[in-house]
Amino acid sequence: MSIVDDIVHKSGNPEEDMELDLAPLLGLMAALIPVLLMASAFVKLASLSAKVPVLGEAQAAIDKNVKDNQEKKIGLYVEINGENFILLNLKQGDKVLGTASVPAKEDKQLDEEKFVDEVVKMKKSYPDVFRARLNPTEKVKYEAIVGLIDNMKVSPNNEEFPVVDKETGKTFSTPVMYDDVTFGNIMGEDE
Amino acid sequence: MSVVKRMLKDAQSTKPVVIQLTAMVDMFTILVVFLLKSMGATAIKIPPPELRLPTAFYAEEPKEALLIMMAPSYVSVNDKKVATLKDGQFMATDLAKNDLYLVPSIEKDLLEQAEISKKVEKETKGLVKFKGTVFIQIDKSIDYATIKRVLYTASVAGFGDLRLATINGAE
Repeated sequence: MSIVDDIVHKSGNPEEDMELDLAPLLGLMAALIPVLLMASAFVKLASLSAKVPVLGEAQAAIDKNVKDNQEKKIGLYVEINGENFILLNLKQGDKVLGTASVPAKEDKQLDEEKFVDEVVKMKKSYPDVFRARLNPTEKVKYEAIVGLIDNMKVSPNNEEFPVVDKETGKTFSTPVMYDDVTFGNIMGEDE
Repeated sequence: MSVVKRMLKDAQSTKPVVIQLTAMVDMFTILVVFLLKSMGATAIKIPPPELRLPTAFYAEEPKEALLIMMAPSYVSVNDKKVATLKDGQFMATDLAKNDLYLVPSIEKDLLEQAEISKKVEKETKGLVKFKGTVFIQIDKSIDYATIKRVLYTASVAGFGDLRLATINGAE
């Protein structure tokens, strides 16, 4: 008897439907699900960019050049204290071009709405400025710092500001406000 | 014949009961695909439960970089605990004697990491550059006094490009 005949003989009727045993597959799936549940992240992480001035021998020379250039550039200086009182100064070197203050709300929380309004006003007066220097005092919580950086980054309701491309001379619009944020008081300056 | 009697008769029959598994396997397959998709492709480490991140709405997709974690009770560099915090503050013994903003234990690890990255840059002939980027996960309740010390130490070690971790509030 050939092997084929043997198989046909063992299975009985060759035309009978073969039942696929799904139990091992089900077992595998049941093992996979807890593993994947444990490895899955249901919270989506994101990141906000910021800078700190870097110390170093070679870097010092570069920093000096950058600093010299930047002193002629305009920047938004944001001071915040532990009581969530914010002081905004739009400066060109030592010359103050605009200033505003945002006191905390009655519940001592950051008044984000007023802060955004003031930042938008500053942005409208100098739309091609993207630099901001953040100077929090030591009692300020990280949550408040993130709140400031986040609110300065893009205008609410996607309001756009005209910016002239210095190379091509063309004007374009962008909702980006101050996305070049540096911690100003890391090395002790700007305090 | 009543329904109960018919059911009893069926139950007494010797016929083996075959459970239909196909629908269950289908359901499990969909579940596995959903879970695989929700895992995402990013290699960024999810913070431990004791580290609560603040929420931001205009944040970017996080990129893989050297990881500094600042929980209320410790600071770690690439998952290695390098300093202990008490109520979110550094202890005086953790700070350098001649520079109260420098944390030597963090500086040591960061310098080592910078050295490795610079070596990789040299060996790959600039293909993989050392950009001084650091991804920092900070608990939302920590004061700037503590953060400033870590940022200062990072700056001294050559890490000036910060990626501040947040929870994406836009999704």
